[in-house]
Amino acid sequence: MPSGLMTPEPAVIRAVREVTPDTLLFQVDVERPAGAAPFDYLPGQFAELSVLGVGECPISITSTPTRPGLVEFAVREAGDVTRALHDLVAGDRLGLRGPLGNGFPLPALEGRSILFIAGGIGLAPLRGLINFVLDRRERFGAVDIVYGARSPELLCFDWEFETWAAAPDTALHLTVDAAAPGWDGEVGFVPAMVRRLGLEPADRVAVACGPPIMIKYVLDDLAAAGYGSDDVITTLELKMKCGVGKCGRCNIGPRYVCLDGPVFTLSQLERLPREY
Amino acid sequence: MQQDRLREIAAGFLGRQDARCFVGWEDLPDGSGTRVTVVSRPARVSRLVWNRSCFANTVALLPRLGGTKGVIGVAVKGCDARALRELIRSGQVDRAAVHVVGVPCDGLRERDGSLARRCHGCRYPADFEYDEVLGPMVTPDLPAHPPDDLDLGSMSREERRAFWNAEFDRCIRCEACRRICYACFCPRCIFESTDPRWVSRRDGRPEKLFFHAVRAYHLAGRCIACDECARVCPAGVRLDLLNRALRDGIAALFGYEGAGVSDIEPPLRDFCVDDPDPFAKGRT
Amino acid sequence: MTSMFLERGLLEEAAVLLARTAEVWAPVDEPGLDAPSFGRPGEGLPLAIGPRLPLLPLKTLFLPRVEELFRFAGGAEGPVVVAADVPERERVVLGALACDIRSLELLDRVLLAEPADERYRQRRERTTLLALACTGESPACFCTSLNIDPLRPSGADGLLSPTGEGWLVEALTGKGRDLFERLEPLLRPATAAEIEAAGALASISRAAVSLDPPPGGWDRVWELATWEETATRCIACGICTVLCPTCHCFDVQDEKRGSGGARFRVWDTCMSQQFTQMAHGMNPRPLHFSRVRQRFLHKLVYFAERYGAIACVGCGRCARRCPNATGIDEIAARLRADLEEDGNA
Repeated sequence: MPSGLMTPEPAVIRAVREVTPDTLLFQVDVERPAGAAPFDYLPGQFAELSVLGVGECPISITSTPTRPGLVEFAVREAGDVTRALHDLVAGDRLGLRGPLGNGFPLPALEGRSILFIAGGIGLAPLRGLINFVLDRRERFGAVDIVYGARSPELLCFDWEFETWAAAPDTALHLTVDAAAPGWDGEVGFVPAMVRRLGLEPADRVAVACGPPIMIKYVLDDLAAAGYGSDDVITTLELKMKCGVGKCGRCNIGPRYVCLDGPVFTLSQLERLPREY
Repeated sequence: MQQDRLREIAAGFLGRQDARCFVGWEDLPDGSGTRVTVVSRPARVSRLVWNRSCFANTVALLPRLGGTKGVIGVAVKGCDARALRELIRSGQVDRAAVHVVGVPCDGLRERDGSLARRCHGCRYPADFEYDEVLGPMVTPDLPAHPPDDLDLGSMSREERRAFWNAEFDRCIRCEACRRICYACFCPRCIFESTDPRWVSRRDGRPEKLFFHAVRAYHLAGRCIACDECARVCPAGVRLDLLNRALRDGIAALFGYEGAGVSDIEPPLRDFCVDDPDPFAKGRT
Repeated sequence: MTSMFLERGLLEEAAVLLARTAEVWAPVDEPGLDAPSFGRPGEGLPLAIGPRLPLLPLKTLFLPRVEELFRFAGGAEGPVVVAADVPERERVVLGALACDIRSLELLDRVLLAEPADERYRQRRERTTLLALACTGESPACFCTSLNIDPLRPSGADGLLSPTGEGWLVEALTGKGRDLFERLEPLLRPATAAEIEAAGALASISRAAVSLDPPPGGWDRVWELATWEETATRCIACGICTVLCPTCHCFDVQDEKRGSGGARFRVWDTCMSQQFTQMAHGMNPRPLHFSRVRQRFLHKLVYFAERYGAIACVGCGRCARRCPNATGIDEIAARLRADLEEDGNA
């Protein structure tokens, strides 16, 4: 078995579950030889998933390390590699390189209240952290989750919502962009809901992920509400190839998103060119 | 002096309300030649030069400048006018949106003073409708064949294969030939497509031949034999010979004098019931 | 210590002697090219050791233009990675120039940073660099502006200084000493005249080019007019990125052959529209001028911020081969002029 930072290891798909019409959840068993180090990861890290012969792409890990066993990836179909991934079924193998990236700054979140803000598939990288926090509930303060999508069927991980809403000192605020038949919840964009909730900065950290336009408004609103740049965290998505800071593709300013990110605080982003 | 006249004309043009910029040539910083330049302010026209080392095709820049408002001034040699004619015919340039200044040329010169290879047998269109000219646009009387040119037609098939293999072995797939070519104006070139990826970036002969052959066929009938592809190639690949070969082939098949020279639609972009069809002989 | 000398006529023999224990690479003249390329002496192409810049830089021998990463073969449960790592061979580069040697030190900062690229690391460790003291190819050279000494490059294991009818030879590292020990039968002591002549070598490289930021720093460089102007003439051919000794960006592609295939990496260019184009449509640099800006800011500012040095070795390849003859030195000068003009406005 060749070593090398560019060589994927085999992983077996144990289950595939539909998240939305264009997104599938893969539950993957990272097969490592007996005695080898286990696949240890932090919420917020990602892996490069391979379909040999087609290519590789970076996908956030959406499971939490507090629940050992299968590693989960939510893959939205967009290009040739994700299309090939969508053709795989339980029992098939894919290639995996990881965990890569920096992950969320867990020590900085300890003892703080957390405001999670997500839009669409942006919930995927946050889900791992949400479940981590809820699994270690006593270590963190109040949890608020604001989550929205264009329409009800595009809300990801809906099977988690009941558990999240029922967790201690945890509030789930769902919204969809436009009214839809069968939906009797909130209607409106995620930034508007964040503003309406009016959650004070206090001891709070905001963690946001979603489409760029949503992020832009959310970051502006949080700043206006008095959140310090060190207390707002987001995770960036950029085209990547090597995932280990060698090929230069994910370079922004002096940073490589694959090595120094993909998780960044707002104060780190403010020092980077506005290209994302 | 023609150069002074060019600067006067450019300054006058840039003073117009609707003028966007003026495309011409400027000296290289080290004085060893010239390059294309775009002047936006009347005060900067002193950068413009016109001499026998103005190789670059100013017209190739026009589709890249984009924009829909205003008029772009452009200094144009007779050979560049062929490209302009083709771009107008292909709908890539709006004739009303360019102010064409013809510069009379009696042949470009290499650094050693010899006549540029591509200028031999110049037949540029003196009949293009320029908006202004620096002087009478007359087709110069220049000798027909460069003395050292390779004659692909006289080579055997095996010799040709050996020749092109050696040429493409040097190719580094920078694709500068594609970028500099006036006729390669597709905003999304197939060689940039990653899904599907039509040709691998492997270093092998099949990949390189695929790239060059496909590009040559895409150009066939539209090549103006300006030899810019060969000039910019850092590896000295004789792309001028490849594209000329196809150009000559089309001339022979269809009696077509060449893009921008004759006033008929390039044969590969046109359809005629009487088209010669030698490659389909014997089939129904 | 006695200075040793290699006679010009013995160069080919020296290459043969070295080839007994290592793979030897040197600049050679290839028909059709107007510059040398790195090749293997003894394979029929004449050696071209001298102050002539090879077309493709030395990085080609350490980060090859196309490199297979691994192969995979069809298996019962889908394709499986099969190829094993092949250890790198001992190599000698004969006649490397200072600019190219410095570029390796800059590439080291990227490719040897954790996690290190193993193949690159092995190649660096197992290659002995025998430099040629370079008097400069043309006024396009400006290595001396970047604290590079073309006559005595740091990073070289050994040095050949042209003098009289051959070269003064000097070992600069342990690897260099080992190499010259192998060449001992072909070396003789240098004469006083030869030593003096070697000491009098001078380079024509321009020393006054500045790639440094202006006194106020590069802070206001984002919106300058130079970007639009340069982008108007730049045809995004990518020649600069292919020929630049410090450019290292690569793409990774898969290729299927039947039920198996290979994954390989290949040099890529940030000038391409596809470089940062994401599958679902987003592109942080969708406009040509933003890519032009990224290339130069990366070289002049970002690389320096992260790795402590400007990503340029003053070889002049970009200016010489650009279809618009626009090099990084010209861009830096125009940026500074823009900033000064803005400051005075």
